[in-house]
Amino acid sequence: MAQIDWILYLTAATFYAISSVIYIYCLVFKKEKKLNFAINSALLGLLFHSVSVALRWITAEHGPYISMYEVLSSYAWVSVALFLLAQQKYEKIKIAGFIAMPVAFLIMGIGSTYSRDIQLIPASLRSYWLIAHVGFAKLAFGSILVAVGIAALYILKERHSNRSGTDENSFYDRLPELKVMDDLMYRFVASGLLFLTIMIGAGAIWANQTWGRYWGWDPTETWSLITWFTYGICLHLRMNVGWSGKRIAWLIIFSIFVLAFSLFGIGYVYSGLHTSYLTS
Amino acid sequence: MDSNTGKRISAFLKSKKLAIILIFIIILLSIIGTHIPQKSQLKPEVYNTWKNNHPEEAVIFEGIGFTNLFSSVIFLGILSLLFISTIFCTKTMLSSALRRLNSASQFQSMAYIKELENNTVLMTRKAQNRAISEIDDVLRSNGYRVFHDKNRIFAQKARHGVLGIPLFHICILFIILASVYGSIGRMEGDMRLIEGQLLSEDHENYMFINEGPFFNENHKKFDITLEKFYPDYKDETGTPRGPAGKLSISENGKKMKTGVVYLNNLVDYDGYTFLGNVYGLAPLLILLNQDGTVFSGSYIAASDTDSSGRYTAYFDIGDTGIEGGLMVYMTANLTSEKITASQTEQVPVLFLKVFDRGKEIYDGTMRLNDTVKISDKYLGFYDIKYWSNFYVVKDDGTILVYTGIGLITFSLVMIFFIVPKRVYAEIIEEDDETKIYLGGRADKFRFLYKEEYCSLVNNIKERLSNGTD
Repeated sequence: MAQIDWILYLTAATFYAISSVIYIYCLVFKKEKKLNFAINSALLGLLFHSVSVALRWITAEHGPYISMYEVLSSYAWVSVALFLLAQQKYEKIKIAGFIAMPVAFLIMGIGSTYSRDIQLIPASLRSYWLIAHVGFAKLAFGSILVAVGIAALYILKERHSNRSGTDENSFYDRLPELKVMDDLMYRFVASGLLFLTIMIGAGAIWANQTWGRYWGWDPTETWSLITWFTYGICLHLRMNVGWSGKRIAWLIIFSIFVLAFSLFGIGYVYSGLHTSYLTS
Repeated sequence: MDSNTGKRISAFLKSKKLAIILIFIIILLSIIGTHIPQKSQLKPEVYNTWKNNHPEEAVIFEGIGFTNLFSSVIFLGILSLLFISTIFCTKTMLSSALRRLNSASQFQSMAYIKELENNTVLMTRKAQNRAISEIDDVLRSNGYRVFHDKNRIFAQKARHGVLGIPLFHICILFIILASVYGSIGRMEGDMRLIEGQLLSEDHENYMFINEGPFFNENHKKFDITLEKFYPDYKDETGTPRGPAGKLSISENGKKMKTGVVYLNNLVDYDGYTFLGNVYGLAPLLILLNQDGTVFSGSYIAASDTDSSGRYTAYFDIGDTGIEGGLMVYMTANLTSEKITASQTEQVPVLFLKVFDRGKEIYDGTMRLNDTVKISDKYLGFYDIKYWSNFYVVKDDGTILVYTGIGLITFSLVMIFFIVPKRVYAEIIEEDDETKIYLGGRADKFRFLYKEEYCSLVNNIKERLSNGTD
């Protein structure tokens, strides 16, 4: 069964790669009609990916949160699933897949470099709070990735409008209005902050059960707080200081590096209680 | 202090920019704190190695308190300023939100309605009263509370969403206060128990203890017994749970609680939490006089410091000058009979070295119930038990912090997903037609609200075009 899940993983990654190429092609050559191929390819990839994750789950007898291969695979799965749901609801932003799909493919690629050996779940990780903790981390990443896609589109559309005015038939002008995109990225970042809050809360309860304290300024905990503050500032600036549009779009794009470091990079830079879970 | 100075200070403290700057400084300090080794997070030997390898940096960082950055004056000062700033901001936000919540219905004229980002003019042949009634119906069926004032309509929904932002800030203050309250009254310590041993929850029974300034030696003094230790515990579902200890707690000889402590499964009693910690083997060594009477004896806690499965300990026997080192491990019982794996029983093997005033007087192996002659006495190995350290924590702030986290999550849902929405209408009868000026606005995501607003307008249009005049 392990071999089957790996083959399905590679098949999913291939479809994500095809989807990414079509998205980038559509964006560069402004071929809106071809977008359906990209979405169908992403859907097909997600289907294979879902079966791969499910098989792995059954074989390993635990969710995708122990080895880096599983963790990265599930991050990519949640990101693609959230993006496909978002583009289903807000159809006009489907081109935002030019960010979401290549990132998902990249995550799958990095995931494939880690060992696929099944690891037994250590006693310290047998907690429902841990499942909530990692589950909401994935949702936060997925939501914010969608926001980054919209932010990038916002910047491209704004640049296009400044350069050549508006033309109803142009590719960029068929995207949602700038104000709508501004609202959309705001909403996805807000969802991301909500998920981050639940992630930190669940992590604090788990830490208290495992180590007897809910907060200990461990590097991973500290960076999760830094990330939370970063998105808090982002929303504070949007809501109260009047930042909107391009400035917020750039801030959202920059902030995902903080989030990505907090979720994936910490284990390689710092040593701490979490790091063995984050690098294996 | 004159009123102007007071106002200036108040304006400074409730400035939104100040809050952002303070959060930014906290972020920077936190990043620094993750780079500089923190004394509180490292084992002393690890910290000292860093200190020896970087003596100049260590002097500087220790001098400015950055090796304990998260409890340094600078960090706590910034945090306190943010706390005060949040109080000022919350006060302003709360009064503004309450004002909005309690404000009378906000009927608006067509001049105002026309300025809204979502506005429509509808015409109908229905009479004014009939039109008002149809609009009212549609708005109500979409979850709005509707108010009338002659020919004007004001409708709103999710109006409690305005409380989200002040609630969020109150939660931040609440969490900070709860964690401070918890830490000043906190007690944490390590208690070592050998299987069957009973210890009272009292200061002197902890191997290590840390007490907050307001704990005031307020120990409950109930009795704790390690009834049994399981190196590889499986719970009732057969799931492996790692090392576990069955604890019982009693007061005045009456058993109050029994529970198994293992990772992610704690035992709570009267505000105290018991967590599993390190464990080891404790062989019982008894020194006997030549006539067989007991000279001295105790269980000696041996630890597996290198995770090799071999437990070592050093000991001395009172003021006899006799001291020694031992290593004990569990091994299969030697037998000449054929057995299956399930019948394998583990028995202890003890390696012992004994010195009398520095001179080696014994070096050998012992099995359970063996006795060896040492000088003019006999040393017997009569029993072996597990010992375990339990990390005991009392932190009354924890449940408050959890409540704060729950409320902060709820407040974020309120802020971003319970968005107050308002619809205004003015209905004017002109000749044989009725003109309806309709407009709507959401507090947030105003341009996304357009979709809902358009659907409302379509419903109203449909209703107005149905039926008789």
